[in-house]
Amino acid sequence: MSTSSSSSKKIVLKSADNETFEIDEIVALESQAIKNMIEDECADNVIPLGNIDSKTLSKIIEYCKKHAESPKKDDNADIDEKAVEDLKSFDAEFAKVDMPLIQDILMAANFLNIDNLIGLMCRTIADRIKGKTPEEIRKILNINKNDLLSPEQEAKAREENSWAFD
Amino acid sequence: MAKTPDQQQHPILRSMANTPDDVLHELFIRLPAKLVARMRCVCKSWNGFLTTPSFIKSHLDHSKNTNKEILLEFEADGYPFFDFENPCTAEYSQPLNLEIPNFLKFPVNTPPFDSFYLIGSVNGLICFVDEGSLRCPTPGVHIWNPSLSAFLTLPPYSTGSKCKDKYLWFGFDPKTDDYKVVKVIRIEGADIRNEWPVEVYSMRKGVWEVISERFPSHVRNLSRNELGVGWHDGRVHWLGYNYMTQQLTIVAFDLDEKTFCEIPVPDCKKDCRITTHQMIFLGMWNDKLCLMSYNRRGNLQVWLMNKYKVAESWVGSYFFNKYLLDLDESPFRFILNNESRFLAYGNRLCLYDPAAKSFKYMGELTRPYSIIVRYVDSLVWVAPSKSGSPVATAADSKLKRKINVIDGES
Repeated sequence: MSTSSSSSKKIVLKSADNETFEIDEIVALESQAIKNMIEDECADNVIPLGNIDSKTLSKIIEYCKKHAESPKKDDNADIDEKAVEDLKSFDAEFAKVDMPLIQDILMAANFLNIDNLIGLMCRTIADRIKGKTPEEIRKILNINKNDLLSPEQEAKAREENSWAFD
Repeated sequence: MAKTPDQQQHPILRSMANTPDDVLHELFIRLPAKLVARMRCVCKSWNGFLTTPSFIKSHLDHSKNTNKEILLEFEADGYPFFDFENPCTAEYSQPLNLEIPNFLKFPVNTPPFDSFYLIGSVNGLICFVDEGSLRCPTPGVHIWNPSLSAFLTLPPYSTGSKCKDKYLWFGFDPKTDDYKVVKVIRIEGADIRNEWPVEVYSMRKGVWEVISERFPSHVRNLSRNELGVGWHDGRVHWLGYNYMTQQLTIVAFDLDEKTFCEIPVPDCKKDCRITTHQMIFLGMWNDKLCLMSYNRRGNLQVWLMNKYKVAESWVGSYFFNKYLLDLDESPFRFILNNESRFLAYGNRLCLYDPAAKSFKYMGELTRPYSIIVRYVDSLVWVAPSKSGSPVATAADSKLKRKINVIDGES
C-alpha cells in the first residue's frame, strides 16, 4: 500500500514451523527488534523466528501491515480522526481471538518488541478479567491446579486485598 | 514460572501462569492497581510476584509515565469530586481501562471533615490536613491513596496542635524509601530559638519526631500555594521572604539529613517582590526548581534553576501574557508535568507547550480556587513499623489490615 521508496525492500521471516513470510521492510520495522537487526545489518536473508509459530506470526504481520500503513502520530500534526477511528476498530477486531492465541501474540510481541501490540494484548487480557472473581480469572487464564493458593493463603490474600473487591 | 516441555508442545493447554516473567511483568505493570490486587489472589506465584517492592515500583513508574492526564480537582475545602481526562491525549497512549469514578471517596468509616487543605501529592499518595470539625475538634494530618482506598490518620504531633500558623509539607525520601511530613509552626511571642520548631513524621516509623534543627527564623511569609510539586530528590521546598536581605528566598529541607538550607531566587529585582498585585509560585519542572511569577499587567514568567542550588543557573525561560490564555482575574496557579508540557490554570485549565509556545484550552474548573493534582494509580503504601506507635486509622481494623498488606514486606 505504501508508496515510499523504502517499501520496495523485502524482508523474509521464518516461523518455528518453517513457513516463510515475505513482507515489506516498512512493515517489519514496526518491530523494534527487527529494526535493530536491520540497522545492525544482521538481517540479510531470512530472519528465523524459532519461537513463533506460523499462526501467530501471520497475525502479527497482519497487525504490523495495518499499523505501518496508518499515519503515524505526530505531535505537531493534526491526526486524521478517521484514520484513528479506523485503526481503533481494526485493533478491536484483531483482539477478538481466544486466550491461548492472545498469550502467543503477547509473547511474540514482547520478543519482537512491538510496543503497541504488547499494549493491545494487555488491554485485551485486562478487559477479559476486569470485575471477575479470582475463580473466574483462574478459568479464563487457565491457571494450573498446582499453582493454587491453599484455602488459608487465599483467605489471607483476599482479606489483605479486600479493597479491590469493593 | 518455567515452561514445561509438555506445555510448549501444546500451547492450547498452556496456563497464563507459565508465561515468562518478563512478559507477565509487561502485563501486570499495565493493569490498574485494583486489578493487580485481584491478581494477587489468583495463584501462588503471582501472589508473591505482585507484592514485591520492586514490582510496586515498576507499576508506579509505568503509571506515572502513562496516566499523565487524569487530574483531580479539589475544592478549597471539600471532597475531591472531579476527574478530568485531557482531550489532547490520543486514545492509544491511554492507560488501559483505568476506571475512576467521577467522585473519589474516602474509605468507609473515615471520620467526616468539615474543612481540609492539601499539602502534597506524591506517587499516588495525597496528604492533607483537616482543621477539625465539631464532631472531631482536633486537627489532623491524613495520607490517602485513592487507588488502594488506603487511609492513614497520623498520630497527633507534640507541639503546637492549636497553633494556626503552621506550615506542612509532604515529600518522598528515596534514601530511606519513606514518605515524610514536615511540620513547622510559628509560636507568637516565644523565645527566638523556639520560634520555629520542626517535627518530622516518617510513614515507615509511624511516629512524629521533634528535630533539633530550626527553621531559619529570618524567613517569613511562607507561601502555601505551591502544591505537591516542590519535592525533589528527598528535599522539600518553601518559598518565603528573608527579612534580613529583604528578598524572596527558597528554603530547602533535606528529608534524610533533616537539615535546612536556603536557595537564592533569580536575580530579577523588583519583578520578584511579593506585592499585593503579584503572585509567585514555586514548583518543580523536569526535576528542576522552577518559579513562576505573575504581575498585575498579566505577564507571567517562568524561571528554571538548571543546576540545583547554583544561583547563577536560573534562567528566565518562558514569558507569556495571561490575556493570551483568556483567563480572568482569578489567581493563576500551575502544576508541572514532568515532561515537556505543563498545566496552567486560573478558572480554566490550559496545557502549555513551551516548544510550540502555545496553550491548549482543556476545560473549565468547577471552582476558581480549586486545587488540581495529578491522579497516579499506585500500589504504593508504607506501613508503619510494628514497633512504632499504632496506626491511627479510622479505628477500623479492616483498614489497618489493608494498610499492612500493601507494604509487601510485612
